[in-house]
Amino acid sequence: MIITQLTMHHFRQFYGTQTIEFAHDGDEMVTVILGENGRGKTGLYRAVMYALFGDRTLEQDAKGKGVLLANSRALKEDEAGQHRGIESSVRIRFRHADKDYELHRSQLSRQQANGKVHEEASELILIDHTDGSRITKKEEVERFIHDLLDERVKHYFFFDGERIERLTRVDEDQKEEVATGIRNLLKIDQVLKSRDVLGHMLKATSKQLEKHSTGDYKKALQKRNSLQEQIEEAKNEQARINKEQTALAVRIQEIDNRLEELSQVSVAIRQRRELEKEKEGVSKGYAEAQQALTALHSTIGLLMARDVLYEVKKQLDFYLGENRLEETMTASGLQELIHDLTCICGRAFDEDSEEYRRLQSLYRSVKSQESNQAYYEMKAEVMQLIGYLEGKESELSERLSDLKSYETRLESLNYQIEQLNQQVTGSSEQSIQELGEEREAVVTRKAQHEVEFRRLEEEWTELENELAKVDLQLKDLKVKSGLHQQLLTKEEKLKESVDVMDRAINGFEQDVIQDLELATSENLAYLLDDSGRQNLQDVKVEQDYSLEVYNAFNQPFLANISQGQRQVLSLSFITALAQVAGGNKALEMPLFMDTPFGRLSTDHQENLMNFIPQIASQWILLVTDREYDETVKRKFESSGVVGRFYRLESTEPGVTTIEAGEVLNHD
Amino acid sequence: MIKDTGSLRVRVRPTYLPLYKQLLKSRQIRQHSEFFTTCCFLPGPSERVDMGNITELCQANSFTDYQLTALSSLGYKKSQRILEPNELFEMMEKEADAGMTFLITELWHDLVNLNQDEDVTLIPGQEFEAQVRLIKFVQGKLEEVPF
Repeated sequence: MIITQLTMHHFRQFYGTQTIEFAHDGDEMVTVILGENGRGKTGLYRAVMYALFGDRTLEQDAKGKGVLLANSRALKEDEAGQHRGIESSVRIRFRHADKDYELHRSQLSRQQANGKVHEEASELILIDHTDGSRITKKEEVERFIHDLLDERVKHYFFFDGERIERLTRVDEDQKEEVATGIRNLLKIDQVLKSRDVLGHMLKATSKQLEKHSTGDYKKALQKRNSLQEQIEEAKNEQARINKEQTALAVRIQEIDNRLEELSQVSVAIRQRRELEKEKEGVSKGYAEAQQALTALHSTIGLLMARDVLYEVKKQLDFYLGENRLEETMTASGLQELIHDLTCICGRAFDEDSEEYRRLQSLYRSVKSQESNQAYYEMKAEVMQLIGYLEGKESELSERLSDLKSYETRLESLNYQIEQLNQQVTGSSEQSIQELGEEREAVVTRKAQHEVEFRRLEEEWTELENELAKVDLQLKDLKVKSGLHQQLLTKEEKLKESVDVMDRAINGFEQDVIQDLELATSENLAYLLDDSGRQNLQDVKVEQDYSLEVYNAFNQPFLANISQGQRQVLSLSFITALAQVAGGNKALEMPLFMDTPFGRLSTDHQENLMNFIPQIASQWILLVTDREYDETVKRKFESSGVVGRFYRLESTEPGVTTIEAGEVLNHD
Repeated sequence: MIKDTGSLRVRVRPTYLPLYKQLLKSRQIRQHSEFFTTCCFLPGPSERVDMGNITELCQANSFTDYQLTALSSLGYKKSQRILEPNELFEMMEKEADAGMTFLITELWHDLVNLNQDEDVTLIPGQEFEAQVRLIKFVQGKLEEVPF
């Protein structure tokens, strides 16, 4: 398949109808599409994946987040206008096996009252422009595309550069799918299918033979067929257990990784618990300190009055003098004594006497005191209040200091707890316990499976021994029977064919794997920079088509290589696949890469730009200006492989236009 | 000391009343008289402003003996005589108003809200912070003047 044209209508950022013509002929087979982030490079990648495979989301999309494929501006215009909904479509023109095809996929979208957009698949049509025929049945179109490129390995040809390195670490549960996809791509699956057909024919012939036989021969045949069925059943069961074992092993690994993370945080969890306990106490103390301080409010107004009180006392002292208040006699009592000319002790005196003068003096003094009574009282109260306030200032300071120390401790505890929270985010003791329990259950189940696996192996080995005996018996009986010679010969030939096929398939797959290893290693050596080349020596392709890379000391090294090197390794494998699948000529399949150079060093990028055009039939590159500046552009275009150049320009928020750019003439 | 205040009412500017009530509700004070007394001793604008139609805050007989002594002393200091209850509280209402103005424009300026009617309140949740600031201010004042 070679893509010649991509047309989008109201799809993602591409408002209206916009088309890209791809370079595909001869040496100029590279199309470069340049766009800054957010301009729609991934929109183009989406368009291709949507048209070919109906993918509405990509791997990089957040799980559960719907991606709106319809153009937002067109939707808004429709909402403001007739509100009938809009059609978004992607049309791909491609060439395959000398025929010209057009694939058209569309959907209808409408903005609903609640603001959500309802999107619904509309048309899927495949047109063969060579003879004008059309396929409109979804299943048939999908089958056609599947024959072009197995969906299971689509990401080996249409990929997002940021995620390409993931191909070197496919999940265990996806490995089998990917391996089937690769076998399909390498056409090994067709040989496997032939073997299966022969197997079915052999089974049918055996049944027929059984039907037409009699006596001991029939019995032996029945026994053989039953044994074969039992062996197949046991092997199938074993395969099922094996698959489950792989899944269990993956789960154990996941649990172990998680537990390891959790064990690192379990110390933090313990510390956090201790700090939280301490915080509880400190918070309680802080609340009490708050209350104690608040209780002092009745005093603070009085404390503020302190200097006024001292000042007033001073003034009153000055005004009243140092005389103490005479409390023994009142002025009226003294006046009575003076009037009666009688002393306090009862003795009489006259007006010229000393006693009379003294009583007169005392009377004047007491009379003066009585007129200043209020001032005396005020002075007493002021002094009393000053006395009350003694010590209150230090109490206030103490309480404030208490509060401050609680506050400081609380702040420090909160900071420490926050730090620990960040360490233990997403983990909990409960999950440690649950994971521990789950691990125990998984390990127990795995052990049971191992026992069952061995039992089944013993069972089918025993059955196969028995089958060999029955086969011998059958041989003997066959000579004696002389019956159904034709059927017997047919069965024998089929059996031989299946055996030969099995050997051939194994041999062929081994050869293909070896070719893949060789090509991947060569490509890797070409693409790596000097230091990478020295460090990474060899690539091994496993039976499940997963990769391992070996260092100079022939040690497995995949786990230690950088992200950039992983990306280069993936690209080496992908290009090797294209080479091996293509045989003598380049595989007719585009390499469609979204931002492939992001993590690559300059050396890696240059090597890749020199290498890919040599082995691929079409290369479509979506790049940012950081990956593809003017210098890189000039250099790449001067090599003569770039046929088309486009720039994605944003004309308004959410709307991108595709503008064709000039490609430098390398002559 | 003022022995008999009778049914004398103590009044404040209407826009300040919500703040008194808020402090009481949030238990930062036990009685209005506490905060009124405090306000009387806070520094205030040198020029007294017209308080407008002032509104009742509490009865004068809710003041404790110590509070009355403190207020009487302030009255004595300012007038150099012992004032009658009505005279004293009339003077103290102006002092408390000035003190409150100091609080909301200086000490608590970032803790207060003003609504459309210009009612003053503390931002909810900031009551204790206001209390602490006031106490720290008082502590500072006490340390300033050695006796």
